[in-house]
Amino acid sequence: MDDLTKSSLIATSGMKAQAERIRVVSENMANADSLPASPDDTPYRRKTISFRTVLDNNIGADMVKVKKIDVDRSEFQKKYDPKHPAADSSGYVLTPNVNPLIELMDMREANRTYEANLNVVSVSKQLLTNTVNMLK
Amino acid sequence: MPITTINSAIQAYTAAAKSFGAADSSSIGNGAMGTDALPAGADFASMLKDGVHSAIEAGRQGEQMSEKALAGKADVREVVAAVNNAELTLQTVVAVRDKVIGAYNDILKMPI
Repeated sequence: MDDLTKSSLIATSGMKAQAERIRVVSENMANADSLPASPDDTPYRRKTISFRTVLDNNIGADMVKVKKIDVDRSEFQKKYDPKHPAADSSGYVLTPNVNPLIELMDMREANRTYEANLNVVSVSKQLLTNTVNMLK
Repeated sequence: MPITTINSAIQAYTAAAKSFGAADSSSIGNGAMGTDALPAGADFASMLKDGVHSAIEAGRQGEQMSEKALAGKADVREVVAAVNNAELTLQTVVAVRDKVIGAYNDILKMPI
């Protein structure tokens, strides 16, 4: 296989991983206000994603794959809302450990990495096409 | 590799034929085209045949991925990669064919 074809396949794996990362971020963002239903329930727990390197035997190069989608074990936040059905005896409700600012930066980073990989794909395609066009 | 003589040009075409993995020696045109000096299966017809086969194979993979995508099973990025690959393989085969046919025509029109 041509090296440029390989590089666009590798970049495709990067795009796939970043797309999954954006999905996890959107889960966290969407559930930022998912409160528990009763006082002994827990609210939504933030999810995290990690990647790992995988050697692809077909092309003989390191690709990226999603290693694990885990949960963030940090403390839940508290909000004073005595009328809420999940409020404890002192009137506090547990809220998800999602910080929208962190999620926003995570999404921005994933977006940039995805675009970088997209550029790798388009540059390798352009180079291959131009090389073949030399025959014409 | 500087191509300066007819011999080296012929060698370049032979190398192109080999790069497509030409291995079928029973193809049409073998011998009739005066390819005695070339290794078996390295003639233009089998080169083209193998090139077209790989293009068809790449096209089939692209179609399979598109079908999967329509069924919601495939990743969009993989579809794009497969279709791009098919397009490029076909372009390469067509370009090589045009080039060799052009050379053949040039020889045909050569005033003797």
